[in-house]
Amino acid sequence: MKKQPAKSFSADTKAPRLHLFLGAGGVGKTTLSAGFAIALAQQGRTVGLMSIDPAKRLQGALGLTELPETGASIELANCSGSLRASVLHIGESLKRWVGEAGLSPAAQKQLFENQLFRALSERLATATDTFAAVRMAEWPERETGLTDLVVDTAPGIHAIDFLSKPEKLSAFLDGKLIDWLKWFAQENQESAGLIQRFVKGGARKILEGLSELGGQRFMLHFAEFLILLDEVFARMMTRLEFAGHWLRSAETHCYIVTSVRYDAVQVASELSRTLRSLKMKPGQVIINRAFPEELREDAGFIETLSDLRQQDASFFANYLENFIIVQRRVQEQLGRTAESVLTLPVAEHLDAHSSLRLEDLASLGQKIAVHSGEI
Amino acid sequence: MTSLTNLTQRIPQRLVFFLGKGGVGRTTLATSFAQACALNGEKTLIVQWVLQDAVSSLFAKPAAGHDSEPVAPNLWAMNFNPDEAIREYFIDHLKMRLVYNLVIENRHVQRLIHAAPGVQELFFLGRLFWLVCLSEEIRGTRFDRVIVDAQATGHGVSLFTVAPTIAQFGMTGPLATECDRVAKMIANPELVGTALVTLPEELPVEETLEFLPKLSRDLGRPPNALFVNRSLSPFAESDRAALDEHHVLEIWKKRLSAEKALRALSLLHRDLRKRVHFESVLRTSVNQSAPDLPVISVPDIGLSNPEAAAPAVLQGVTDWLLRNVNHSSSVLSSNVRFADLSDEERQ
Repeated sequence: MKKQPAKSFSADTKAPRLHLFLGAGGVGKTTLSAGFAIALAQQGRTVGLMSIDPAKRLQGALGLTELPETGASIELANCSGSLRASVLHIGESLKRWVGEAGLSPAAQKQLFENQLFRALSERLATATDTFAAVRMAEWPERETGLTDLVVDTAPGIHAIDFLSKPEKLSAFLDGKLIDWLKWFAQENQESAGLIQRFVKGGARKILEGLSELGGQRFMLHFAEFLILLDEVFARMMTRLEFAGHWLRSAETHCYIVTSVRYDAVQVASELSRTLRSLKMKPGQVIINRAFPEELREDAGFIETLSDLRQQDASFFANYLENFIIVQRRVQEQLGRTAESVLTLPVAEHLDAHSSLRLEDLASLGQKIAVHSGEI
Repeated sequence: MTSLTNLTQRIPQRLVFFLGKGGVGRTTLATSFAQACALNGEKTLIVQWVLQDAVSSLFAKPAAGHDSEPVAPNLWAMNFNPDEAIREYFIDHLKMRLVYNLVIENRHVQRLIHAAPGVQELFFLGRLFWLVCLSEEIRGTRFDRVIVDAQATGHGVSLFTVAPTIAQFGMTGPLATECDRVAKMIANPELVGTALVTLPEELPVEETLEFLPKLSRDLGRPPNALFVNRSLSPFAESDRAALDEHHVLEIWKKRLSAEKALRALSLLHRDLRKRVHFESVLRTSVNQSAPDLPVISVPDIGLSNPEAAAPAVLQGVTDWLLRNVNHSSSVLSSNVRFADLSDEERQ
């Protein structure tokens, strides 16, 4: 497949900084990534924020009920930079990419009716993992002057799909199978002519084998799909190549977010292992909503625990003690493997108010940015 | 022993998918249920599809691969590997070694298999079909139960739509047959059951309530049960004063004066009440939208034994399931008191 010349990202142009937030579901990854993005924007930077499935509360805090796939500018008071936020809707992105690739209205119609395309854009959830990196790499093309892109990834080890898919997808798009299938389709339209002669014996056998497995009709559907998407895939290749480099760049920073709970260590160390195996830099661990360290040994606090027990509230005392023990274990175990561990105490947290507030989000994000040397 | 029968009868199907987002304790609940089945005398296999098998270590056994390994009496574990499943399918099942060697192993076809969404999922379901419907005939081995620790919620549900979706591509030949029989298996309510796992926290509850109708639509039936893992309600029931913010506030104000300390305790107490609150929200909603769906609250085992490592937590959950799941409706009443939450929070 022919690649398009990479417009924005030749080797000599400096790519924007990429910040990835990884972690199990419900640990506050989306919230912290939003706070971090706001903090960077307040430093005068031009920031993009790409979220997957944010809670309604967060969309509310950003002042938007429905974040669009293409992103929307977020109004921030006293902010010298800018923030643009989006939510991943791969189906919508695919349709937009088709439009941008300059397909004729007839070809677009044909493609939108193609069963494979419809499955890809509407029904196959794994398509999100497959194409998320393309959307990520597209961001700097759409927004000139972007300095930072903050990406909130799928929960738990699904982040791995996102991190490893660029290579898998570009290997396929770059492979010969697409060309073979196109020849196959043309052969069947009896317009093969010259091209037919180029199909090597081996390729023919593979196509025949595939026909045997899935049927000729399916092969034609598939070929039609590939031919119609040719231009879209060509652009995708450039973006995937960029995404691969970007993820592995020394400038790219990963944040592994955990909360104080038993499985935190397992998910965090699995993610660290994955980052290593993908030759990415080890991430910084953030323990979110932790018990304040200094209070642990405080005499007044220890007396409070026994008072709670004596006055019919031992449930809360147990809850606190349990919290502290689990937290200590999480800190010890993660401290051994992570590059650095940042503990964000609950006392400085943003949920003192029943709705999320931008300034609280920002102050939390600022702590992360200061700790990682970003500010 | 009656309780044990009750739990396994509530989820009677041979193939049971445990669904839930990462971090909700899905593996713990799936393994506990599998353990309960095994204790009930059923030959049980727990199937995962992860980078590294997380079940075997709970039984102090080395990680299992694509082939099932025994981990306890009546209990086996395996970790699905798509490449091996595809090889088995073509060579052992279809007896198409030549096609496999020539076509499937071709570098360019391999690239397609690894890039195309849905392909690996289809072979995952195919492997489950083999385990549930074919292995007895072919290998002479039969599992009474196959428990699947399925991937995150969104992906779990796409697992159920992947076969009908691919079937629409107009395929013929063995792959069409595979889609067809896998789709039929999923559609069979006697054969396939589902259990949802969630946490009593804001986001997981929000997601579960959104996911329930989606699952019922894609599967054509509601799940068999909804497990609320790490529930605090059982403790709250017996120790209600602990949820009263004013009562607790009076106690800690006597000993602590630093504002930061008071704020931290106040937020952690709010967390505690929120957990109870969101569990109640979940119960109330499910009660209205799916009154027949049993909501099973599994207490936070670590709360009574904070030093417990993962195998002890698993054992605690299994023991609790065996002792307590013996009511015909929900395990706990939904009228748990949650004092002093503002009206805004209640919504």
